[in-house]
Amino acid sequence: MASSNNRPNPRPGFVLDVDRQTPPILFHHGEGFRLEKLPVGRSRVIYPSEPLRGIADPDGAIRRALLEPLNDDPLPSILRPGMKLTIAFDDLSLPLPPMERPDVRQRIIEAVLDLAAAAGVDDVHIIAALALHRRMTEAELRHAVGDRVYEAFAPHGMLYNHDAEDPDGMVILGKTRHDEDAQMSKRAAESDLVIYVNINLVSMDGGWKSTATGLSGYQGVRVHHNVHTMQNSKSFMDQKSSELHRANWRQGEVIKNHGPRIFQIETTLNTNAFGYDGPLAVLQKREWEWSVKDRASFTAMNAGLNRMSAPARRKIFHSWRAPYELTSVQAGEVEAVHERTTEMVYKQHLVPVEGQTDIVTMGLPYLCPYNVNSIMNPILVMVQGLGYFFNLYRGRPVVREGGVLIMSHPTPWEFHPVHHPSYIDFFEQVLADTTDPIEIERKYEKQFAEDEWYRHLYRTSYAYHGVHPFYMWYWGSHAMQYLGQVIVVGGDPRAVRRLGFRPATTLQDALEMAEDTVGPKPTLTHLHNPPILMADVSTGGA
Amino acid sequence: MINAGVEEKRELVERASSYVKIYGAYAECEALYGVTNLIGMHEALAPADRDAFCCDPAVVDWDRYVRDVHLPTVVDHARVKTTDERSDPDARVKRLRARVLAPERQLAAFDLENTIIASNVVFSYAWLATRNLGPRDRLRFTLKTLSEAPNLLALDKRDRTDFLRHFYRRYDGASVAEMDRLGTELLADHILTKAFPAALRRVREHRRLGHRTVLITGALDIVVKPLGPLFDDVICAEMSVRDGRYTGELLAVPPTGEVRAQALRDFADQHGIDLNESVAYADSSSDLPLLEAVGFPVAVNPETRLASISSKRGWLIENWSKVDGGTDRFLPLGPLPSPRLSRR
Repeated sequence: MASSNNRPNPRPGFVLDVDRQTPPILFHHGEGFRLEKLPVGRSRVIYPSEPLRGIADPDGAIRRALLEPLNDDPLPSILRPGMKLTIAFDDLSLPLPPMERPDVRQRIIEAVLDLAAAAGVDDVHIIAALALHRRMTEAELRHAVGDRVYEAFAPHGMLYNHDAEDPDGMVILGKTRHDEDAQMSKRAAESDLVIYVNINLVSMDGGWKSTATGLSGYQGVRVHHNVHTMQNSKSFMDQKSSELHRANWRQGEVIKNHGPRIFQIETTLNTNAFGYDGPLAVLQKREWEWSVKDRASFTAMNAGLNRMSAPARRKIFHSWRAPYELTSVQAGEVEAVHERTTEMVYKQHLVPVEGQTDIVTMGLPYLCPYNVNSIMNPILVMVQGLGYFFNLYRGRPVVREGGVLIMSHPTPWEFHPVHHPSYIDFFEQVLADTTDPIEIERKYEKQFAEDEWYRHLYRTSYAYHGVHPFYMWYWGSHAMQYLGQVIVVGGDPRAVRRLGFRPATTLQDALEMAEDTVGPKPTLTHLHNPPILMADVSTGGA
Repeated sequence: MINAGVEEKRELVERASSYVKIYGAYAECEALYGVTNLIGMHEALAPADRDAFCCDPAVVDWDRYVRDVHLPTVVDHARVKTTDERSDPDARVKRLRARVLAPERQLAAFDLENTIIASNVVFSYAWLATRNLGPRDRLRFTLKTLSEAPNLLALDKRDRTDFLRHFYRRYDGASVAEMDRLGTELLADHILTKAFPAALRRVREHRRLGHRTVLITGALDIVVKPLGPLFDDVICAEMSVRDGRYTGELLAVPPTGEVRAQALRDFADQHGIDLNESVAYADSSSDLPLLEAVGFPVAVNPETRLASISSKRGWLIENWSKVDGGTDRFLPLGPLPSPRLSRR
């Protein structure tokens, strides 16, 4: 990791106005790519900032953070023999793609365990704080915490996945000032100290959300994972305008007053997802700066991918490990820590953008938080576009109200039968009836959330909770309410229509279809994401 | 699914051929009609009637009649209706399905193989047997299983119960604790990837309606156990255990064929259930005793013979398939034990 610190100063993100000289622009397209010419004179492309420089000595920085925490006592002074200590860590959904070994969680957990051992703490449990996500497999746990920690704790039942449906394993800590439940894993709730190990990939992550959501269950999560909250989070990536954030912070107050002591450790990574060199490095470069070698390797990669079967392509992409570098680590009191973390996330992600356009285009990659080592099914395509990418804004969306969102993804009618069983039924049964989030929430949520079979699969197999596909749909509900039309380029037409969107074969077709909604000669913004960017949209003409 | 489709096409062809038999002669007919009698009758009329009733076919403009009157009427009657007068092509299936899912039904019995999952006892065994094997032993296992396949298939065809007894001897000496542990893994790695999601939905739909759901299969309890929470009750083959290990001997006759129907009757008697008000799902004509034991049989992905019987008797046919995205392996083997992971 240290070698990449020799890079020159990273350039900030910026907005490119498309003119005749602009080369075709890269669109991610599932396990593949498209190069698209955007309309000259009325299009702009938002490029992410280049990866910030990583910390040269991550282990040293981690140690310093533990010894000099923010608004809290140094960790060694809190640890004492005989205490009950729980270390909870962010699950498989972070970071994306999974990072090269050693994972930053491993570095932190090892540092914490060294201090705990020195202090004589012997009652330690390590929990993957996955809320209603799927359980992590042995290989995935080993990757996150490292073999040494895994082998020392897992065989003794002291390293495990959180189980939000364990009838004896969950407690209600109390009610928020809005009369909402705050729920937590019993082991964590009964601990003298909970140390939370976070990876803050986007500004929505971390803070009280780590413990209030990550260690919670359906009863606690449904407080904010609902249509009302999501339609009032504009966006959920902007803490000051996010009802999701406020609800988690209300639950945080309950944890502060009635729950265990929390020692929060947060980290930020740069956007070096694809590397400075190597086969995917070209994805991090701006098209007009592609060298002859870049063009040749991109063309060869695309040709190779086109010749492969879908499962083979999927396998190759999912084996990619990102050479992310740690850009900050801070520990201590939750809110003070999270403020510093958010600053760092914004520093890496925010790109100033002036005004809105009629259309936003985006190329969706092969991965979202819920299909690591899995299949990006149509519902996840929706959530990646309308949930995550659309909401990566501060101020206002890059597209005007009633405008059109065009996303590019193959959107196959495919599901992982083990990871996403309730998604299959949601797609076949619920979406065949209606795509209206409010109607879906009213009519179907309870049935799926309380289904015994899904509960069994969540607890014993590797399935997302029965209610999870509903949350995906709610995640997109702000965009659904705001946009005039959604078009998917290159998707399976049947699957796209089931989602309630319109399929188009080419971007050109999609742009023509969009004119039905926004009128002729529309203006357009392309989000050149990933690597991740967040548009900081001010008022003003497009 | 193919079988049901073939059966449908066969019926269409039969109907077409019977029409040809009935009407074919007319299409080929060439004839001269004499009008002498007709003219004679006309002349026999009273003079006042003769002008009112013309009987001479020659006065009709036949070309105009055929073109403007006859053919448009035929076309009008024969035209495929595309407006809302058209009846719903799935109406029959929907009606049958509604009867199967009526709240007053009392029990729903399900076969396992090819009804709930696209798998069989050999596949489950292959998975379990190879779970702890290294790559070389796996290859040996696969070759051995393939070489035995023809004999096994022949035995299965001759007598299902004999086949199961013979095959289950392979579990002789297997540790009960180990099999229990592997059972959970089997669910994730093998059973769910082979399952028909629509079948899993249907079981739970019956449960929501308050019907008692029963899985009734010749598969072994080890394999069936992970599916247990899906059903109210499970009737399956069980092996005897000695010193914490399976003996390879069955405790009772496995529930297949006639035995399965009897097992269902016994179960219904015990629980005061009226089988006339019950539903059964199965895929093969060897399951006929089970299907015939209930008032509302459902053929799932039926083979040709069952498809034909089902359509003749007006039974509901369901075509359920695996979800796209699951793995498709020729012989499902367990994952390699403790993969060596790249280390720090």
